[in-house]
Amino acid sequence: MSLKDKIKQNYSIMERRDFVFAYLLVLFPVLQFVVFWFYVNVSSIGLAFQDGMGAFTFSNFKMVWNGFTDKDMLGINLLDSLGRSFLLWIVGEGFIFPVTLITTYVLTKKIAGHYVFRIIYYVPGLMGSIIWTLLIKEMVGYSGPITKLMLSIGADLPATARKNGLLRSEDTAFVTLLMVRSVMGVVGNNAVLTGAYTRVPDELFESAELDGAGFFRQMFGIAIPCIWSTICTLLTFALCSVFTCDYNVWLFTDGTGGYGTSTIGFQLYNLTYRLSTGIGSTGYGYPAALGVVLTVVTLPVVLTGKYLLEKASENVEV
Amino acid sequence: MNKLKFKRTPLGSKIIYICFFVMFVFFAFLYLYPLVWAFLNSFKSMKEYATDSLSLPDKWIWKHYIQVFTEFQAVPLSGGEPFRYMDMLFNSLWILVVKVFVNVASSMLLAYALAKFRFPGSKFLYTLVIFANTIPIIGAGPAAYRLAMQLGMVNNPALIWLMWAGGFDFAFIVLYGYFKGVSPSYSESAKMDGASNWTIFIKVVLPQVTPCLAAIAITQATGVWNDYSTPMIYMRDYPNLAYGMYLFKDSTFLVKDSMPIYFASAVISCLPVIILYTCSQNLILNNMTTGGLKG
Repeated sequence: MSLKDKIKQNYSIMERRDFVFAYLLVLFPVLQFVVFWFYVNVSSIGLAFQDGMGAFTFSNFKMVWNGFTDKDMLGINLLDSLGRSFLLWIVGEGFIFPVTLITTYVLTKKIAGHYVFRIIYYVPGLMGSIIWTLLIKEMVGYSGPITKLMLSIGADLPATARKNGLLRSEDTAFVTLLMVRSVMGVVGNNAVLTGAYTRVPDELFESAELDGAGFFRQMFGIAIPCIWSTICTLLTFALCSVFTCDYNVWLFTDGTGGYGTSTIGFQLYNLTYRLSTGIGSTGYGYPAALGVVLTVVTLPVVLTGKYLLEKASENVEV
Repeated sequence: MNKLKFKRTPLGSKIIYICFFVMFVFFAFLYLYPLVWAFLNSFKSMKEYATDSLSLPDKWIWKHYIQVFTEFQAVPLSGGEPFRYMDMLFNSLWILVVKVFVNVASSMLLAYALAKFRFPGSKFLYTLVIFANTIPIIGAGPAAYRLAMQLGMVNNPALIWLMWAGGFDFAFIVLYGYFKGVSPSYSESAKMDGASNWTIFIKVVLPQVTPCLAAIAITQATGVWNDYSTPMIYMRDYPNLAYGMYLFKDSTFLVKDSMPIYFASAVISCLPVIILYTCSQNLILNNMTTGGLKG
């Protein structure tokens, strides 16, 4: 039996009209996806196995291997970049995410000034990375207030940091980025988490209060289990971002990734940028091969993480 | 959630809330300080800024805020005529409107179809969206750029929107959950009255999801307004304000008092999004939520 006959047999005329409508709705998004996601990713894999003339080669992967064991074509050690990406991610998600989870909960309790605090916490996100990093860069520059403050409290800054600022010294640049990430990263999931918390019925907290449950009992016993699926979704997205996010390294270092700050996300953006300007370009093959290698490495971790989060989601009882 | 009844709160919880309040004040200071610092320095002369960036301005030079519009220039990487602030403001506005509209519209169409209709392939499509969102395929940037070049989309406002119109994204996940929560009773009544699917979608369903659409659009708008990386690669001849700010750092030789004017432009640039978010905070927080990701 053909597909057409099967549809005729299983669905009424009304349902078939709905099909046409539904297919019309999804037509554009699906075509867009096929061209700009599916084709792009398939061609990216293809490019990883091609040289500049389009001939089959493994040389791009050899360059990636060199990047991990020594230095890549742009003089950057990919293993170091990988480590930095992971550290920034750990600080962002491992430390900041639980903090955001708690602070957002407290703000949804509508403590004094909650409305203003919520706006202020979103300020770094609203100002955008370009303005934010510009201001931070100026503040940690050699005459900036943060550098001055550190010197005035007797911090033992290396000579290069005293002379050029915290972001222009091998010893302090990456630590500064970590500090900035840990202080400024709190805004990340504020909106979605607040939206989820506000949907938890008040009655649950009121009865818990009557039963004498304190702050932590209410939070960990009611609020978090109620929004567990949202937490899992956000964590899954977070898992995917470990190597794709450049953590503003581009802006902080004026596109150089210098002073030991380069991350994998930075390097991938840098390679695309070089292609677009044609200056110092490595061609399409090397970045594509790097992407394939990182995808292969990350995929099992993300899939395992997603599976565990889904399992955890099933086991949570509200 | 109800407002905290502080008097009724047990002592232990009271202490915790007070600690959090102190912590919030501290973080608020940390977050606001750079903005206030930039605001104060925007009134100084370049000399005063270079010698003392921490004190209040000796003389408040208000004209820097006018000079942003008359003198702020950013030299394109390829050389040529510098971009003016008003040009970049215009680019920021049209990029924002087009990008947010096509992206939200695409996600909305897909989410509505998958949330409200069961048709052959719908389950597969849903799984595909979840797959695309949760599987980290890394390093496709060069291939995407190559495709955009081949299709003549780079620096082409007439075509670049096609690239921005992806519906398989986080907006889909939020909207899908929202559409699922919309009661089918109105649509069913309209259907019984003979309304077509299009009429139901436009006149019955869309008004019910408008708050969610607005919340997503505003959230995306703040991101698009501040996005420098996409114009830097794909729309270099049409720089928005964010990219212009990036270019300006290499163009400071063109303008006297460049850093204070730069700070003034930073303050002006972020004001629209701060006002927009402040005005729509409740709308965003009440409508931005997502459920699980089971594909």
